[in-house]
Amino acid sequence: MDAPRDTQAPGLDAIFAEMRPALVRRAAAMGVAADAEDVAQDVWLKMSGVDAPVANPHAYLLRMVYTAVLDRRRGARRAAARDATWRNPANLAEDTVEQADAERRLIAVQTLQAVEARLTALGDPAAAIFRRHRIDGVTQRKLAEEFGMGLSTIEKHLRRAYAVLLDLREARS
Amino acid sequence: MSRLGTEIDREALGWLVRVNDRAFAAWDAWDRWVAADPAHAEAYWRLAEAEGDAVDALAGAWFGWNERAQPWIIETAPGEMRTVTLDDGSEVSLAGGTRLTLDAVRVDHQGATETLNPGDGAMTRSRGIQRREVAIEEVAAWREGRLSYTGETLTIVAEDLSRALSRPIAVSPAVAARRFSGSLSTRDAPDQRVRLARLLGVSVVEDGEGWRLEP
Repeated sequence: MDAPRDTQAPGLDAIFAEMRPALVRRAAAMGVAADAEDVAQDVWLKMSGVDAPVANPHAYLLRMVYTAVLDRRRGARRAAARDATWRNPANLAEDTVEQADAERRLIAVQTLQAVEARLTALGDPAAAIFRRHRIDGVTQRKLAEEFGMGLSTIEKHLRRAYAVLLDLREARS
Repeated sequence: MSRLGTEIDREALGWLVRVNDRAFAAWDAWDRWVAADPAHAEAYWRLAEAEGDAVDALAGAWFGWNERAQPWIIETAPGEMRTVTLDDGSEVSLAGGTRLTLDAVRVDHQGATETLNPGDGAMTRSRGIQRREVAIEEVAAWREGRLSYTGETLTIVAEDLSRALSRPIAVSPAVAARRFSGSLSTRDAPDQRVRLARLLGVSVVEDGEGWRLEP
C-alpha cells in the first residue's frame, strides 16, 4: 500500500498537519469564527483521499479553506433568508415545507433564466470567457491562449461579466 | 445603480476575479486586503456569495430517472473531481467526497440530501443540491435528436429507440412495464449502450441480434 507516492517530499497530510493552526486562523478571519475548526475538519476530509500530486500544497489548502468558508457563508445566508420568510406570519401557509420547496425551485429556475438573459445581453466574448472560466474551469492563462488575448483583457471581460451578474442580484433583492 | 459603484466594490470585484482562477496563489496579499478594513470584507463576501449563486444556477444540470430504477450510484473519492455527462449532453460535476444515488430517489452531496419524487429533477452544483421540477417537454424542446418521456413504459421507449438508433431493441418481460421519465439522446455515441443502461436503470445487453433491456 505504501507504493511510491514520494515524488513530492512531505505528503499533503504532513503539510496539513503543519498548517492546521494557520488554516483554522484563516478560516476564523474569513468570518466563520465559530465554525473554523469544522472548516479545517472539512478540508482534512476532502484532502485525505487526494492521490494526485498537488503542485502548490499551501495554495491548494488555502483554496480549500476559502471554498469551505464560502460554502458556509452562502448556506448561512440562505438559512437566514428562509427563517425570515417563515417568521413572517403573512407568509405562513398550511403546508409551509411544501411551499418553501416550491419557492426554492421557482427561485432556482428564475435565477437561471435571469443569469442566461444577462449573459446573452452581455454578449461574447465576455459571456463565452465567463462560461469557459467559471463553468468549465479553464484557467485565465489558458483562456488567454484560447481567445488570443492578453491576461489583462481576459480579466477585464470577466469583471464585466461578474458585474452584470451581481447587478442581477441587486435587481432581485 | 448598484453597490458596484464604490471604489471598494470595484477592488473587491478585481480580487474575486483573481481568486476564482484556480491558478491563484496570492492568498497572503488577498488576506491583507480583506483584513485591512471591515468594509473590504463585507464587500468581498457579498460579491463572492452572489457570484457563487449565479454560477451555481448556470452550472445546474437536469436529469430524469425512471420510477423503479435500480440505484445509479456515482461516487467520488475525497478530493476527486468528476464530471459525468448525462444523456441529454448536460454535465453533472461532482466535487470530492460526493455520493450521488439515484433510486427512487435520494441524492446525497456532502451530507446534504434531497429526496426526489417522480417528476422532480435534481440540480447538482459544485456546492450542493437543488431540487426542482423536471419540465421534460421544455428540456426536449431545447435540443434536437432526443426522445423525451413522462412516465412511459420501457416497451414504448424501446420501440422508439429501435427506430431512432436503427437497431433492434428488445425488452425483457421483467422490465417491460417499468416506466421512464426523462430525455434520451439518439445521437450515435460509442458509449450509447452504457448511457442508456444508466438512464433507464436496466442492463442493456447485446444478444447477437440487437440489444435487450434486462433487469
